[in-house]
Amino acid sequence: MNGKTRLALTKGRLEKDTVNLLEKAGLNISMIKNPERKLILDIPGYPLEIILLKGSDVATYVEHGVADLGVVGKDVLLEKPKPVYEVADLGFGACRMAVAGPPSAVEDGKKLLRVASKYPRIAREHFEEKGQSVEIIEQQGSVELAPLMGLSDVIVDIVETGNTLKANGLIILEEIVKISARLIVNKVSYKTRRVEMNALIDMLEKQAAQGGKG
Amino acid sequence: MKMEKRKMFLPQGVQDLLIDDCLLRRKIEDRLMETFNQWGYMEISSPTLEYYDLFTKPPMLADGDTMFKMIDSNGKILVMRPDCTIPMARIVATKMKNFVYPLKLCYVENVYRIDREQSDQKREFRQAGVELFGVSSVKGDAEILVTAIESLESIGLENLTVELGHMKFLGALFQSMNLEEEAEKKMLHLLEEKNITGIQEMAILHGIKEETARLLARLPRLFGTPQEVLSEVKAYRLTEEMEEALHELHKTIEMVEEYGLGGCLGIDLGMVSQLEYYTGITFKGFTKDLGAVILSGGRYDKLLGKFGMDCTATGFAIVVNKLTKALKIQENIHVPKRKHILILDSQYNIGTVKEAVDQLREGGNIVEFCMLEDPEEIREYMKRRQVNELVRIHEDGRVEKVSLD
Repeated sequence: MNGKTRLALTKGRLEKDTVNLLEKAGLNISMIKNPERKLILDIPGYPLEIILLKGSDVATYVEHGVADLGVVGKDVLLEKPKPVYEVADLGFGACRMAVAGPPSAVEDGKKLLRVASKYPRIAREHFEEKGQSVEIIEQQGSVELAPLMGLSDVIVDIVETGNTLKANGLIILEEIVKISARLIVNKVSYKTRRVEMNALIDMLEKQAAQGGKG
Repeated sequence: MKMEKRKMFLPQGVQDLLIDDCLLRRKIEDRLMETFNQWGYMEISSPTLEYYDLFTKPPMLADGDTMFKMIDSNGKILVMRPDCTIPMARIVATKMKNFVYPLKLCYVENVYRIDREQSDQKREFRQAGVELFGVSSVKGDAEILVTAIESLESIGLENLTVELGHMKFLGALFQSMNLEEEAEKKMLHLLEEKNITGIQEMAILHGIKEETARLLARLPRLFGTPQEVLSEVKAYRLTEEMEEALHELHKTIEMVEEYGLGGCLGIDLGMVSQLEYYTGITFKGFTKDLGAVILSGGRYDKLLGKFGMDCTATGFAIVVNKLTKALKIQENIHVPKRKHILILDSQYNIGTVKEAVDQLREGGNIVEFCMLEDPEEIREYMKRRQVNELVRIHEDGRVEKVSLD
């Protein structure tokens, strides 16, 4: 590994929000805006490199120390826990992990609840804690469809505005946990590059705390 | 179809080691064992199979889910050793009570753990370690640290950092918070994650005193050089026990420094250990070239009590697989190439040939009889096995260098 600290970002909205923070902190992000098919993006004038990955890959790259830091949703960390430091809650990407279903599902009190979710682990742990037996039906997308088609009784999914739920006649039955973007750090990198890492963490945290202002 | 495939492939988390990797492993382990021996540690070996109960009764590993289990023919549950220190403690308490103390033991063993996350972690890996029984003072901690550092550096590992923590420091802090068991576990987990926001939120939720909460939320950042950490922590109000823990850290580090190996030491007061038997100074070692812990260890004064013996102990284990990986990355490990001699047209003749072969093998040369007839095949064999010399031994024992052409 060269002298630069490597930051892995989750492609999509979290990437944009993080890049905004970097820009507000005064970094030169021209390379990120015009990547020209490059996969490792340099930040000129600051000892930092950016790589873009899918959420769960961000955590894996950081776990193995290939990336020193990463920005990833809390949902990913809960679904696939990794031995990394979770040093800051960046606040953006805020949403909720919730149980949702048709209003009739509230009173059902079923012995075995069928749950459709993209997050089988989070769903299982949640219902296990409540002592409710469940059958988890793993989905890749359009989870809302499952209760409508009778595939499941309820769903466990990320809820941002709740508009999709409403449009399909579903309501939030229970909130499981609040989700937001987290800054994760490789355990060894943090120890061996403490000064650079702390500077970067503090910078991102400071910009995140100032929210949309800037 | 599935059965067919299972014949060919390995289960997750285990691996075959081929020629060079075996040579490398043997070289590394021999070197480690040599250092341990030279420091006065004696090798012992525990069996791969032990009773499940050995590891699950508190304050042991606690989490039985991560162990490979088997049912014995009499119905008892067996596990494949998930840790080496607990069996060592069992051996000492049951078989070596009357030995002369301090007792110094060492081992190289396989350990087996099921990785719950099913990531790419190894489920079988090698640990080389030492245990020192019967030294309660920081002299014991310093001795163990020096042995660990020397073992790793003498094998060629570079950029080593060894970070120290203290269970008593954390223990005293948690005692003053008086959390319920569940909450304590959760707080420890947040601390392990260095999740400052989470710690702050939880401190408020549980009404933890402001002064305590301030130190608690700072712990994730209380790591670095011994001087920095020890001077920064002074700014907080500390209990007597915490002061004592810091004093022990200071004394231990001072001793390692006096021996001349202190350069790699650091402190992490927020260090949380996965193993529940630690009672005093704990430590972890790593290098910036590999994102994984290579060395871990610490003091476990209460463990032998579980086997009915009152004896203090401290020790460490090196994860051989990780050490090998780091050495490979640093390009600091080479298996010395031996001279390789192939004997052509061998005729056994009582006495003379054996004598000549023995002589050729002197100095560690590889000497083998050629089993092939076809010159093309011999040429290929020599190329692939990197044979240096082709010889013919005459009936009178005379060795003649020959060539295939």
